[in-house]
Amino acid sequence: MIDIYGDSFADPTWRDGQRPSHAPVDTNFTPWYERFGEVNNFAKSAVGPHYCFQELYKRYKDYTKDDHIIFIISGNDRIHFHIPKEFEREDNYQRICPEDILWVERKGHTILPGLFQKNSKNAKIPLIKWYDKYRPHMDYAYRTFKEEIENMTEKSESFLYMISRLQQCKVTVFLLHANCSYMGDRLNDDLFYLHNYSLMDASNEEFIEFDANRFPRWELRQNHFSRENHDIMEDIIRTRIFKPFKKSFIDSTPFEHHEVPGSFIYD
Amino acid sequence: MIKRVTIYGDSFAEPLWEYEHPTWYGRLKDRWPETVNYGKSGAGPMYSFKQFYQDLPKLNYEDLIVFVISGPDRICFNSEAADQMRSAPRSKEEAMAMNFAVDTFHDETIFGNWKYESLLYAASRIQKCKIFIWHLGMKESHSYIKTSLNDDYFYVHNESLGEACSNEYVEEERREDKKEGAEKEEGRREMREYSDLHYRVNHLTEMNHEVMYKQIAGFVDDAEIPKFLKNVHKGSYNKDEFVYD
Repeated sequence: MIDIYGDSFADPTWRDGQRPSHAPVDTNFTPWYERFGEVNNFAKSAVGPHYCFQELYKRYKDYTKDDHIIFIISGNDRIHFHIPKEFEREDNYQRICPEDILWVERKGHTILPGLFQKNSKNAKIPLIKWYDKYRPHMDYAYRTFKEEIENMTEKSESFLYMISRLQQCKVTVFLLHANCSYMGDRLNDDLFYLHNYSLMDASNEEFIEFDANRFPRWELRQNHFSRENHDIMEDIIRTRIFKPFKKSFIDSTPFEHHEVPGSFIYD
Repeated sequence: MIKRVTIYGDSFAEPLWEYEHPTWYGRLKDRWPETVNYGKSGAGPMYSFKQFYQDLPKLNYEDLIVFVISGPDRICFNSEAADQMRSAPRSKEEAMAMNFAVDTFHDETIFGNWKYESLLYAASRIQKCKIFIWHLGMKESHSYIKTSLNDDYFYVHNESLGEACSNEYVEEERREDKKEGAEKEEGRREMREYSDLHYRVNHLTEMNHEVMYKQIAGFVDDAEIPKFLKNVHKGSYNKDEFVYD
């Protein structure tokens, strides 16, 4: 069985319309994660390795040589902060996504981005109340686990490598930011494959005349990739051999740039 | 050829009592003068790894890393006050913040040792340094790898330091713990070791300090790695604090 863990680059809800979309996404082709027959896809937009490992811990010991784990290690700073019961919501649109809270190093505390604040059309009242009540606790949690958070990619890829050793299953790892990797592709072998190239860069480099460090305000591509790079993803997973992503082939005109450099929308 | 030794760990490694009798880390320093010991009583792996993350990129084939991996639940609260490990919260608000931090990182803490030992294993492959590990316990929560990947670069000792400390006591004392039944045995054992007036440096007798040194030397020299000695220590107790029948 193939199990997939990761963020919006693998989130299956982009496909089935559950996603609270801001713009129509091109779904006229089969995304990479639906090209391998029956899979368990645990990926969820916006989450980080913190959340993904909570899922993996539930089942990693069951993996055997017949299994294949595909794992996207996304941003270290996407912390799955604790949500007390009083703030849990069934409604998809009011449910809190803890990863919406960001840590800003230069300010030394967490922030709720303007995008989600009271006056925004994306305002979620439970999220705002939860943040107002627990902000000092979030800051404290972040400061306590600071080094662990900063080194989460190194630990995550090492543990995935270890699972491939001990469970003898195949593990394929993608990185949102390759510069956070310690292992790179240095330990790749028959069981373990780490694709040493940032998915974030690959997504942005699809655009012709790419404006460095600017991202689309609203994503129009399925899971941040055009069909061509979904094909590459499939190829990499099947062959477990490095293949570069396709670059500079998308006209960026229909994509409105985000006004804040460095901001990326994971809706 | 090993040139430097770096030690990380808790009270089993803390170099406070180096001169009472020869210690395992003192013997390492005799052999490799460039030995640095970051051992600190009460420290958890989270504390030790703060240093290790900084050291990691500099390691190479001349380095020997000795790691005592203690309990993953020893959280080093608030990195700005690392010396206040395991300190009691100063206010209700701080207690709430601590609980929130623990709830947020609950799974990362529970499974923490597995990631730490995995990173150490990866480091031994990539940096080509030698890594020797003792665990405080050998239960599943302490180690995922156990001894399954031991080789010339990476070695996990198959006896825990907790066991070694306990097994030093003569059998008749340990037998008394068992009389209490499985549920109370561990608590009584800990109480007995805590109340023991026969003070042991780093929780172990001099004989087992020598064994610890030989275990590391055996790994480095590709020689036999001895087991800890058992039944070599008899405690003495103040009856007001601990009743030993």
